[in-house]
Amino acid sequence: MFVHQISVYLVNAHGTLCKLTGLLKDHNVDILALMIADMSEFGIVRFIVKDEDIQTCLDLLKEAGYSARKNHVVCVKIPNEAGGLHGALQLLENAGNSIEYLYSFNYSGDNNALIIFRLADREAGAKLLLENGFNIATQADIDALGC
Amino acid sequence: MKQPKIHKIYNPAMECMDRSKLRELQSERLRETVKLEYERVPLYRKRMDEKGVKPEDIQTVDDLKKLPFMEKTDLRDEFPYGLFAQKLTDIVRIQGSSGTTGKPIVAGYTENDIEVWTEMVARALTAAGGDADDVIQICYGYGLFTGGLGAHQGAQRIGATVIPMSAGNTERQMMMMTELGATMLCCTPSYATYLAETLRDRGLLGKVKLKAGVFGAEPWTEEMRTHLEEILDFDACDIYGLTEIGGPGVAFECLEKHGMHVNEDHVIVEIINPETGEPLPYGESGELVFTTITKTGMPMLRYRTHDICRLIAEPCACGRTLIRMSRLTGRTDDMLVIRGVNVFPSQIESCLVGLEGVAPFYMLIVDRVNSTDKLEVQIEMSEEMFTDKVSEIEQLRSTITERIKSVVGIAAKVTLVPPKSLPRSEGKAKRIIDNRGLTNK
Repeated sequence: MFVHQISVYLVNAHGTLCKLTGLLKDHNVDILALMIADMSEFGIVRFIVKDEDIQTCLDLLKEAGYSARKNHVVCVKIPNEAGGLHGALQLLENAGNSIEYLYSFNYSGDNNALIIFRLADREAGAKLLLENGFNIATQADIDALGC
Repeated sequence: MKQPKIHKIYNPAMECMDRSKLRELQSERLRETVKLEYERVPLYRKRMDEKGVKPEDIQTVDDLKKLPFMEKTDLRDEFPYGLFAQKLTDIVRIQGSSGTTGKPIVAGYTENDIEVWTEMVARALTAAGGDADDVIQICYGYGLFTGGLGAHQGAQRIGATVIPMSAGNTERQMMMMTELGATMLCCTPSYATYLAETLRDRGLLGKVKLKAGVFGAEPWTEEMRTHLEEILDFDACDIYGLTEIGGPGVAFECLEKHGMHVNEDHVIVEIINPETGEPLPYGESGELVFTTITKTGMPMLRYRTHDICRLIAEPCACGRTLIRMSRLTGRTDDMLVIRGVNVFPSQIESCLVGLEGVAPFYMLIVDRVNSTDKLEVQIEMSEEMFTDKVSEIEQLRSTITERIKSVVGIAAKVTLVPPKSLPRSEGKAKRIIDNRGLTNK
């Protein structure tokens, strides 16, 4: 039900992100979605790749000397309409489930936006959203997007 | 305004004593100190016994080389009172300094020791031209650190008007200096430079009445002296000391500004080969070793400072017969002096123990920006330390920053860098990059 996300620690300096994307490009890894948390001294880059690329990616990063981690996030199909995202957030808020961060895919292939949620309680959050009519995209769905 | 070169001497009887007389005095005081140390300090008695040396084997200064050395680690191992030769009833003051690990070192002073220390600083201030007509501004920190109280006691002893500013708050320092017309300044040479440059940049130099400054607690260079004297048009003199031996004033410059006179009626100075421990003749460069011969609270015999310099035996034009030590040219260990505070990489390391994962690889980068020392601690973030959450990384960083602040006593900028990004050196790990250019030749 969950999507794998890779997080990488970067020093906030000119060229560090470019070096990372270069490494992925050289090994033919397609980044499907990406977000950066930027602080004054450092940044955390979080991104999604196809299932088949995950291990390659982690090995590559480790070998190149990055601190990287794999974790699970919830990918929710949010109707592309006013209040679509709000509905999901309201549910989570009422349930007391905190969102640590979220970001979106730029492509979904249908009339939905794909939003990545990092939740305090991933299992409960996903269940809650499903019960309330939201669709959750799995890693297989992501892989099949062809984006 | 720079002073005419008139040599004032606080205690001519002692400072200008005939050297053979001085040697007799030293021998007599050494005998008493060794006896006291042997009787009262178990660690040192054990060490002498191991070497087969009895107090009666030490008759003159020439016998000094028979005695075992003392080290900073002894102060740590015997912390807090193990090296004290008197009951606490007779100890009137504790001063402290950094140890090589998380724990500080402390020294105990009897009334007599405070007196000795006070006189040593009084001599230094007098040598720089100070007397009862001076207004002396002290911007060393007051507290466990010997700088503030040491300078204060000496300044008061010569009858000067003391402004006990303590460290920091440059705006207030400048205001008091110009408004009260301070004629002498005591602080670290880097802070003096920062003050001087700030006064200049604010166009306040016309209101400055300084004639001299006595600067210590960290190594400095002739270039820094020239720069300081050019801005402030005064005499900048060096002073040397360490808590273990009593504090600032162990040695001081006169207006000849060519080496620091060692207060030899209170300490015996040696230069040794740091590898073999063998004493070296005057003039040769080696490790500075001190033996206190008048302190009673915590006498130190053959204390290895790890500072490297040489001794200048030629008579000085000022009339003092006290031997001089050159500027420090380095260390035999990896101690750094940052804003007057002694910093050992091992102290920083002790702050990193207990973090997630194995002890991380780190590097200290020291720089001087606007005459102020900056310490950056770069720590490689191991995979175990890395989390996906910004708040947790920030938390880790602030935990390390706080630990360093509390253990070392100075603020450091902590940067978490990717694994394997710091340069590795073969053999002993190189932990320090010092970009301040403080090395004397």
